[in-house]
Amino acid sequence: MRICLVAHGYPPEERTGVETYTAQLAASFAEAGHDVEVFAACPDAELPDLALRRAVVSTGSAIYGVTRVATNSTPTNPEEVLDPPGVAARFASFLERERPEVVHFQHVIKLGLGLVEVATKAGLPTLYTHHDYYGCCHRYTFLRPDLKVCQRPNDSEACARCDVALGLLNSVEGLGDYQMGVEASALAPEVASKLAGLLDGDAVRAGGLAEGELEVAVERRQSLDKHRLEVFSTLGRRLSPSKFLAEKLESTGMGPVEHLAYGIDCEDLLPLRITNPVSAPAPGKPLRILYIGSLVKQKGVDVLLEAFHRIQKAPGAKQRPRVELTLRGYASDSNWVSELSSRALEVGARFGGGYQRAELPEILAWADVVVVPSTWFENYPIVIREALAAGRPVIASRLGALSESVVDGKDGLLFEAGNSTDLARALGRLLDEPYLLEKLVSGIGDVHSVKDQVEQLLRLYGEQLAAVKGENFETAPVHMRAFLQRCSELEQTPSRELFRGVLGGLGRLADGLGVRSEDSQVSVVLERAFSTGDEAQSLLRDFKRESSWLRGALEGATNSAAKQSERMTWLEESLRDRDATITSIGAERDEQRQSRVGLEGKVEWLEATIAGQEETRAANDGELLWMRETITGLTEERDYLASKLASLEEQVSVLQGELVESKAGHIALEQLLRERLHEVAESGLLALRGQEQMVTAGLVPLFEALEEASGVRADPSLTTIEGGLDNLVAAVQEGLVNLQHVEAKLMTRVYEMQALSEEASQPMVRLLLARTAVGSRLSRWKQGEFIPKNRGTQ
Amino acid sequence: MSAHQPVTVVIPALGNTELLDANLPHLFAEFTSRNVADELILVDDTGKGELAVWAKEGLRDKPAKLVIREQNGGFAAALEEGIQAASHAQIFSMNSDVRVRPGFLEPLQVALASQPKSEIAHRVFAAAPRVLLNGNEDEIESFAKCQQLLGLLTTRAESPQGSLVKLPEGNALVPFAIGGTFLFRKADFEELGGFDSLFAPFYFEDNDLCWRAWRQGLCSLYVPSAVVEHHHKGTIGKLLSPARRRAAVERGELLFNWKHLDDSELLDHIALLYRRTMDAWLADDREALIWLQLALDSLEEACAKRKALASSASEATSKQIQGELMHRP
Repeated sequence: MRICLVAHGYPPEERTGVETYTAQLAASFAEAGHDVEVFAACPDAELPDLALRRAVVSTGSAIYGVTRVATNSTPTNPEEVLDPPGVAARFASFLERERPEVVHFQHVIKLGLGLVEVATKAGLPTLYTHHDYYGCCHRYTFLRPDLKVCQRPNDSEACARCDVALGLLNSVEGLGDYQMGVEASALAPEVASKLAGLLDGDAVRAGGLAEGELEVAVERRQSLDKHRLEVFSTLGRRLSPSKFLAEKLESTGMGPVEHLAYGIDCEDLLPLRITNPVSAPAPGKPLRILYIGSLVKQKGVDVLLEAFHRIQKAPGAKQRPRVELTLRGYASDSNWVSELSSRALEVGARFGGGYQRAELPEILAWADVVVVPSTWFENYPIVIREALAAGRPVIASRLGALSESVVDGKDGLLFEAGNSTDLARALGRLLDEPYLLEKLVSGIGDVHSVKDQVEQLLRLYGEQLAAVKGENFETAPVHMRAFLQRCSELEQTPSRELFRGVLGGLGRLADGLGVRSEDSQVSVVLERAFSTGDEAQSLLRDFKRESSWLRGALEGATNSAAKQSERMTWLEESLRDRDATITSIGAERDEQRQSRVGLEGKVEWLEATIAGQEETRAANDGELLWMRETITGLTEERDYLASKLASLEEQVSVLQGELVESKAGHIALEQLLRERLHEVAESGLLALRGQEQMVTAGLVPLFEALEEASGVRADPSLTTIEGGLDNLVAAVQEGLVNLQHVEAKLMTRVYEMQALSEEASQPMVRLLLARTAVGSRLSRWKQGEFIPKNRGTQ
Repeated sequence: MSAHQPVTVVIPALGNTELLDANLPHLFAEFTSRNVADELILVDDTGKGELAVWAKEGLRDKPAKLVIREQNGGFAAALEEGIQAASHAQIFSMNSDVRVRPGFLEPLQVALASQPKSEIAHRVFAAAPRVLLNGNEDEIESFAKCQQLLGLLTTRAESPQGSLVKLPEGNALVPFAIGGTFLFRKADFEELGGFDSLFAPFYFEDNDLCWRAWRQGLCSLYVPSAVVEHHHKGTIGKLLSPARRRAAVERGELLFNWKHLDDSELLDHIALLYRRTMDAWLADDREALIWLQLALDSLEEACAKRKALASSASEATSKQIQGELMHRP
């Protein structure tokens, strides 16, 4: 099978876990008879950016190719970090030449997601072994730039804050390799505070963020995360050596991630269990503690040094067996390594530097125990496998997937991550508990070998290959099928094999065509071939010439770029000024707009007010007119009333005169009446007396007779006369009463007219104010009591 | 030979009846116009008899026969089967996407009967009409030429380049006649042994046939007064990517060279191939390596054919033919 392995680095330039594992895998596949081509990133300042260089690696019986791409450019933004420009195209040309049947990615950091896309587009079966959190954390460690473990996975805002915070660290001088992060203690207080503010979302402490900067970063991170997820989702198979990592990756939604433990190349380590068995510490036999691996900050080597220091300074240390500590490993962070080496010197630890894989048996043979004090979510450290393979127990942090690798109390001990006291305690147990180390050694089981894993992976590759739909020749006419099939085979053949095959064929060609053997000698043929021209040679000459021209052009372009950069800076400043001006003008404009809106409102209000006033004025005009008319009417009324009053007064005067006259008449009448009555009465009396006398005279005999007969005296005529007089007196009295009524009524009218006259003579304002009263009065009059002149029924 | 001899037109066809519907009426009109009992033999090369149903209506009352092949075999094999079934001595080979123009046959027949102006050819083997690409007057794709470049003999039709290419206005010697449209004698064809299966599935079988004829003193003529149109809708173009078509062409050319180059030309040729191989390797030109390998796959067969040709009597060498063609009128 033709297998392509892809890694972000490769030994000997890079010797950390993934690179070492990839190299072991490549060698094992090759040893098993498979064609292996490795594609790896390898910056090389001697080469043009993105130059490809293939080297043949031979280890024992394994021979395979390693193509290194010179990733010399430094990414300038998060997009370029995720997909460094141009690398995918170089990978495509590599695939075109090497024609692997399966591509197994180990890591694409520094290479880019574009490689996965290229392989997928080419229809190749793809697998990806996740060695860290790159699939779900763009920093691939779940470590924030302050080296704290991220508590917000799959949260684009938290990721964006990491971006912005890293930007802050970019601006700080002298931090060394800070890409993984920096302890707060290594920063100036104000920077540390700002960093914490940025990461924790404390706007006050973060301070100074440009407006929208975080929003832009979040948007960008969301887009990048989406892209990453899409790419990882297209992979044929996703593998993880630990369950812990698999769960983290699956939580992103990229699809199933299969758990497949690493196998390691440990054949040279296994014999140590017998040749150099671990022995318990004793007086004269120190406990030898070893750290091997990368010396980056998150590996917690500083914690180990502190723990080592604590053990030595602990009470009773002199009664314990001695302890020795050796550190071996590499790191690109020279500042950090310098700090570690200083501290190692202080505490009496040996700082051994880097090592080749071949030295590992010797290094491990020295050790009694290997410590893995990582402070990040370790995944599946190879050093643990190597230590266990060599029969060395491991003391590891209780963090991430480490507890899947080390079983506490069985083949090692676990301690609280980052806690040097707890680590010192664990190490102290090895000193204090005589049989603990031997017990842990006996608890070490078999280590999964790389050969085991090769078998597992080949099975997976086979499954993936079987799932790939090949070209269907059955649809082509019969006479074309063989040709098409052969074309397809050759198209899938690596260029190297094609070349080899053609050269072999050409060797047979001369014989077949009957060229004389002396003529077909290689030297003769080659002389002929290349004396008549060599296109490739010409092309190379052209390339050389073009290269030198391009170098000149590049130099010119660089100079020009520098000038352009200066100009750009100037333009940016100018732009900033203009932006400020625009902002200022904008603010003024907004203010004016607001003012205009206010004024428009005011104008509207005033117009409404004027309209209202005009309506009021019109109404007032109407009312004024009406008032004028009313006044006129009232004046007329007043005049009318005045005339009426005068008339009434006249009438009153007349009536008073009449009254006086009546009174006088009454008196006279009364007198006359009395007189007449007296006269009548006198005359009547006289008459009556006469009649009485006559009657009496006439009746006297009768009465006398009657009186004589009955004894009663009677006189009827006098009684009748008295009744008529009484009636007359009553009639006169009734007339007088009626006259008094008329007089009273007249007096009332007089008073009213006087009051009305007074009211009518009041000023206009009072008239207006009194309109209602007057109106009601008029109404009353209209209803019958009084109808003013000219007002009609209005 | 009379110009009015009847002709058998042989059309190998796959299942594209639209082409037949579009192009055969022009052919039958020509038959009618000539009125010399020309015939059409339509060879159903689908291997499934797909044209039988169409032929009941499409060839009804026409001077035509349908030959159904039991298995698809490609243009050359189908043409050979059609030739075997031909009634007449003269055969016009024709692709189904070719549309003839009125009067196309007569100039070809005249040319076929003519005495060639050649020092090595004594008779005309094949007469090729002026083939207009998609009917365009200035895009002629049937004028073939011959070149020898640093050990490689190329015999290819001139690329249609419009008015930029000056083509002869009268008949001219050409290295070969395009297999899709040429007139020849059935007897010559059979005597030459027909198409060589070395070139299967396609391309260069016509070059090889005509070159073999040249070697026997039978030349090919380009006859511009006979005009047909080629409305490119062939099967190969549909089924093959441009890269694979090119591979078939390049492979055919190499096999043609291995079969026909003179011994004296071989060393240069082999040297050229070494150089090409090196160039292809150094320049990441995988396609060139694939062409070479495809040809080398048939190396033994090519060598056998070469030896067979060498053992038979011939009237002209490769060099002589090239000399004739490079100094043609």
